[in-house]
Formats: sequence, C-alpha cells, structure tokens
Amino acid sequence: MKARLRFVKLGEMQYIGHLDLMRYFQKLFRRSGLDMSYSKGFNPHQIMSFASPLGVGLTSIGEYLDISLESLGEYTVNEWIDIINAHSNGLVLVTEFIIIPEDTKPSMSLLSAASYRISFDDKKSAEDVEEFFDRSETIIYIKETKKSKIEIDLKKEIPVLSADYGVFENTLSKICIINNRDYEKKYIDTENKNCIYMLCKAGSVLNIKPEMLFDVYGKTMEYQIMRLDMFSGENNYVSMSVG
Amino acid sequence: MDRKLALERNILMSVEKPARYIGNEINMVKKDLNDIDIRFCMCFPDVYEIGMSHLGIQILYDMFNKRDDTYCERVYSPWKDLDEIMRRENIPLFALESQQPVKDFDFLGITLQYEMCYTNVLQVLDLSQIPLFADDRGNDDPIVIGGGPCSYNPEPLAEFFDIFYIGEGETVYDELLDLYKDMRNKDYDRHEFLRKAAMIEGLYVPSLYNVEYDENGLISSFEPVYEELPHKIRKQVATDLSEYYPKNPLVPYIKVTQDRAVLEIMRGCIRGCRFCQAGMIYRPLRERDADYLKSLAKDMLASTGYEEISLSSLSSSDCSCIKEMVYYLIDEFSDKKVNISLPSLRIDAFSLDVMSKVQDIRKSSLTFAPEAGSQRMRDVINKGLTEEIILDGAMDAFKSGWNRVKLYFMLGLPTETYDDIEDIAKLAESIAEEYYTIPKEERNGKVNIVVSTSLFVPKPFTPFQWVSMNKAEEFTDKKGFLMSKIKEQLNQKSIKYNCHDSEVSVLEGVFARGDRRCGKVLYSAYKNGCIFDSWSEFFDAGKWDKAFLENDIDPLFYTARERSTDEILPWDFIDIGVTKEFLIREYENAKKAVVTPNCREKCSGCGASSYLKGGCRF
Ligand code: SF4
Repeated sequence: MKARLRFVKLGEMQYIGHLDLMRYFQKLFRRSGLDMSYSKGFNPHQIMSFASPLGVGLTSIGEYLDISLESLGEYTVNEWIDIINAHSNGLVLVTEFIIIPEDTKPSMSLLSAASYRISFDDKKSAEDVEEFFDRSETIIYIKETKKSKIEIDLKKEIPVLSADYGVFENTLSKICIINNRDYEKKYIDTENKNCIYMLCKAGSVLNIKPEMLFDVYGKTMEYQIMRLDMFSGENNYVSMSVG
Repeated sequence: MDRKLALERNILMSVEKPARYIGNEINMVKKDLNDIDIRFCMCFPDVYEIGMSHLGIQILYDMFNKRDDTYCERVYSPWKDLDEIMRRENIPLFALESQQPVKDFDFLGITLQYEMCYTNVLQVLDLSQIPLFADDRGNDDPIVIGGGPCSYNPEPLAEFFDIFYIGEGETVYDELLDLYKDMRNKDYDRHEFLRKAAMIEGLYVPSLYNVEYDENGLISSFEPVYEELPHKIRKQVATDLSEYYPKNPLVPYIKVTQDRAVLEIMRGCIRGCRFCQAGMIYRPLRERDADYLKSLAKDMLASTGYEEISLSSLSSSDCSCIKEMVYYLIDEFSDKKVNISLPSLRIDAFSLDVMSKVQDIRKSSLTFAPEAGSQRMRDVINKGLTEEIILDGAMDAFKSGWNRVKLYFMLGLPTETYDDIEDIAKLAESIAEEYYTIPKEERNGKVNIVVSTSLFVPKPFTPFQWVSMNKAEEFTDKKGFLMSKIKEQLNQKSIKYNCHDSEVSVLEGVFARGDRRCGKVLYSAYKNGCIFDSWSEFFDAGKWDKAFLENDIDPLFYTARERSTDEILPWDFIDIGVTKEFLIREYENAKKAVVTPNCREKCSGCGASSYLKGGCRF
C-alpha cells in the first residue's frame, strides 16, 4: 500500500542535506516499527520518494514524502503519526499520513509550485525586494548548465510575491485551492514585517528557487528561507495536503 | 529548538558538512546542567565522521552518563575550513551536546588511536583555548586526560597531558571522578589533585616523573618525584564485560565511516602475531556471553534503526560463540532487512557459507592477511597462515563463485630479504593460477587480485619493540622492487598493487617509540602548520623535516636504531601484564623463525593471566 506523508523540517535540521534526510527517515521508520516495503536484491532499501529535495540551509513546514508499506499493522494512520514522532528528534515531525490509491502518481511528478517565506534581518530588506519585484517588467535569471544557458523570466515564474502575509494569502487563494493555513498559523509569525512570501513554479523541468531572485537582485544580504507548502495542478494550484 | 548553536548560521552555511557541528543526534544524552557536578568532554582528535565511528567513545559515553552527577559530552576536530574561521574569529571550541566551550569543562578526555593524530590533539587544545602545555594550566582549566592504544607509550605527549589513563576505561574512572568531586568542593588545587590521582592504579601523571638521559641520549633513569608514587603503572583490564555497553548508541545524521551498529564480541586475541601491538596490550582474551550479545543486538537495532550490524573483535574466527552469533543474527534479522557485516573472519567452510548468505558474491571480495610472502617470514612474525591454507581457501571460494581477492602484506619486517618480498608477487600469482585451473565454463569471468602493502612500524610492547625500522628510502626501494616483480608474473594483468606512503609511516615510527624529547618536534610541527597528518591531502613532510631540524632531533635515532634488550625504553614504566621476559623470548623465537602456539593450543606463560582470577581458561 502507498502513503503520502507531510512533514516539517525545523531549526537546526536545516543543516541536514537531502540524502542524509532520506537516511534519517529510513532509520526513523525502522525505530518506529513501521512495516515498510523494500526493494529486491542484495541491498534492499525502503521504497520512498520525496516531492522535492530541500536544500541545505532551508527549513520547511510543508514537505511531502511518498512511501510504500506492507501494512499498517495494529495502528491507525493517526496513531502512526504519534509513534513516528515519538521516535524522531522533535525537529522533523510528520504532520499528515494519508493512504493513497496504488495508481496515484508520485508527488514528485505532480509538483507544479511551491510557496516560501523569506525572512531578513530587517523590514527594509523585505520592502526593497518587494519593490524591486513589483517595479521590474522582466527579471531575467540566467541558468547555466554544462551544455547551455537558458534565460528565465522570474516575473512569469513567480506568480505571487508580497511582503504582507495578508496580501499574499489573498492573492494565493484566487489561484489556489488551499485548505491548510493551519501550518502557517502554527509555525510562523505572520505579523513579522521582515519577511516576504512568494509562490514559485516548480517541477522537474524547471524548478524555480527563491535564491534565483536574490541572484538577479544582486545586493548581498542575509536571509533564511522556509518552504511553506507544495502544490500540484496547472492554473488552479492544489495544495498537496489535499491528497 | 531553544538550544542555541555555538556557531552562527552564516558560519555553518559556509563550511563543508555543517552537521558535524550541531550535535543533537538520535540518542544524544541530554542533561540539565544545574544537576551536574562534573562535566566531562570526550574527544576523538580527528574529523567527526571518523570519531563518531569509534566504539570506545560510545562505551565511555554510556558509562559516564550513567552517573547522575556527571554529564559526558563530545568534541571532534573541526575540519580545516572551520578551523580557520575559529582561529580568525576567536571562537572557542565547543562540545556538541551543550554547544558550550570545552574550556569550561572539568575534564577533557582525548582518545589516542593513532600517532598521526597528535597534531590534532594540539589543535583541539589550542582551539579550546586551553594552554597547550600542562605546566601552564591553572585551577580553572580542564584536566586533560589521554587514553587509548597510543597511551601505552605516552611519552611524546607527556608535556601536553595532565593524566594518562593506561588501559580499559571501565575500571577506575569512577574513582578518579569521586576524588575530583571531593576535592573540588574544598580548597581545590590542581597540583594536589594530580598528586592524589597519581595514586590511583592505572593513572600516570607525567609531570610527577623525571626522566634523565646519558651521554648517548639513552634513558638513564625514570623516577617519580614523590616517594609515595608507584614506579610502575599497571594497565587496567575490565574483567566483567557485561557492565557497560551502549544499548542506544548515537546515530549520526551524516554518513560516517562506521555507519552501523557495532557489537564487540570479545577483547584480546589468542594469536600472538609478533608485530601486533593490539594482540599484546589487550591480553588476556575475554569473551562476551552469547545471550548478552544477542540481547544487545536486539536493543541496539531497535534504538538506532540501523540497517546493518557488525561483529567486532581482533580475530572473530577465534571467538567461541562466533557461529552461534552469526547464525542467530541471520535467522533473527535477515527478514527484517538487516545487513550483517563480518570483518576479520578467516576464510574457511563456515565463513564461506555465511558470506554466501549475507553478501553478493559477485560484488564482494575474499580477504587474506598473510602479512608476509614467504613461509619463513610468516614464521618470523608468528602468523600461522600457510600457503596451502590460502590456496585451498581461495579455491573453495572460487568454486562458489568468488573472483575477487584482497591480500594484505607488510614490507620492512625484521630479517626481511628481497626473496621474501618476491614471494609476495609469487603468492599472488599462485592464487591467480589456481583460479584458472577451473574450467572456463565454470568460472565467473576474470580473477581480480589486489595486493596491498603497509609498511612495518615497530610498536611498544611487542616482541619487535627493539628492532630497527626501515628508512623511507628502503621502503621506496622495496615497493619499487615488488612492483617490478608483480609485473614479471604471468597473470600480472589480474594483479593490482597498492601501497602506503613511506614518509607517514616513518613519522609514525618516531612517535610510536619516541620519548619525551619528541614532544618538542610535535610542537614545532604544529606551529609550522601541520594538522590532519593522517590525511594525505594535508600531510606535509617538509614541515615535519623542518620541525626535526629546528629541535636538532634525528628521527633515525627513534626509527632505524636497533635497541638492546637491556636499554630502558620510554614505556618500561607501564606494566601490561605481559612480561618483558616473554617479549624477549618471543623476539629470540622470531630471529630463529620459531612459531609459538596460540593461547588455545598451549599457554606460553606471557603473564597476562594475572588479570584473571583462576588464570586464562579456554
Ligand atoms: S597467560 Fe597464556 S593463555 Fe593467557 S594470554 Fe598469556 S599466553 Fe595466552
């Protein structure tokens, strides 16, 4: 059976990279006693895939992980959430655990956008970035690969950006089917004025990262990025929380 | 989340693998500092991934933290990138648990596993802002204790340590901590404390012993400065191995060298290979009870979530419960997808059966450690492995589908001739030829043989502690010679040759058998910028040469010079149970190429049985 988990990755866990996080989950599930499915062969490994790797230095309150299970055993999914979290370190916590149909596409291939909060040391930086974004007609980021250079217009790839959480939420709700503000209420201070919020298009072909915007903006500044959620769908984004 | 990290985010983001410095691993011990009397920081002076793989620290971590009045934390060498930042910004080195400066601790215990970490010892002290020399430390500085195999000749490090703990940590640490707690509550004086600590069996306080030298530079006397102090320091041996073992070992976030649960099935070794220090200093043999080991295995896998468990010992095949344990692990955990790794198993029917169950034959290789190419040379070192055993074992394995063989040898063994070295090439060739006697249809492609040589470094408390070590040029010649001989073999295309760096081995040789005067060289080398010497990308022979010159010390005095058996050796004040008479007898046997039976076959009266009530029993 397949399941999709939503989890948060907080605080100092930002220093743990994607591969190490995967290893962390493998051990976490083993400690918890969850009956995971394994691949075949001499070095069997748990079958799991993440919607999108989170870079070192980023925290998140909206990560998704697909897993394959042999069975739930004697517990319900909600009980499993508690068991898993009791075996974790308090900074990686599973918040949702849903059984999904066998034919569900992997979250990785569904991903179309992700929302972020970027916090700065002061209010001015947040306002400056917002102003830069609003005033620019195009924001050209040049993505260099080994073979080619592609120009990306971030203005098109970042559908929403605001330094005001209320404005952000409002705009987002017009293009998104959102059901889950609870995380943001629980984990972040939406009154904090030193932040900007943005929705970036995402996917396996073109994955927009908030850092790209700061690259073009040019000024060096300290900031911390938190991923808020991930979405599927094309014009109407659907939070993956909906399942 | 309220735990504040010692390093700012911008620093952590600018260094490689920031997870090395954040602690908070699964099973990390958390204690309220308000309830703590003694803060002990355990250090492995190398990078986190190496240090975290060390079982000894995990055992002591468990042991210390069982005391309610003590909080044991950990620290490792910051990697070069962070080292530079910490020096530049004057950030004191901190322990991973509390993220607080090491200099505020009561004790800093440093494990000394190999000589090439000595400059890192100075790095750790320096970054901690603790005076490098013990003499310069005051009442508020931590007591710096050394332990581990290198403390069996602690003299090159004598000036940098307050205490050396000689032997296994499980025995007298409680006594030391109780003494400290008692004295700390009153008018604490560091010197008084050390003087009392020196009375505890197994503890060596180097500042309380004087060494004098004669006109040839040999030690003429080694005496304690106070009458009450012991002349000999007795090695500590844990006789009950079921008291401390980490049921919930730390699980690092990043991949470390030993990324698995480790089960130490026994201590000591019955073999008595004459080059092997571990084989002597860990005598007598003590085995853990199989039922205890089984319950530990279960507990450790449950508390860590590791997907691999390994059995550890110097020579697992000699453990009486090895079969029982291995089959237990396979039966109990294979369907739970736990890999079982089996280092140091001799190749025989049992190990081949087990390996075919737990490994992918096509990907794994057979390992033999004949250590020497000729039978004469193997008799000299008392390695009871014959060509026949190797060829038969290899053949059995080839028939079961293996086609990769790893062979380990040493160059520079006492009495070695070029014929002995040529025999290494011949032995590899014989194995290859053996493989090709199998009909083509039954073979699994080509055979693949890897010959590795390390360079022999004579170690204290071995029958070879008196011998001359080869010079770097000799090693280089021998390596070149072996390479040319391998090239002459019929199947040379199937044989690959790897070898160790000569300069590092020579330096290891200096510190292994060095005396107090070598401390100056170490200090100069560190000041010249030497650090992480066991990492080839950092090892800088030029800086070391300069350090020897600056101090007018000839490394050959320590390496190439053959000692007479009546010379006072720097480590003679340590009593490891194994007597000098036994070592001399073994040295003589080596010269005559006479083999000594192992402890199970026949006791040779080495002296180590004095640790066990009723003696060694098999
Ligand atoms: S006393 Fe005998 S059996 Fe015991 S370790 Fe020494 S040689 Fe081996």
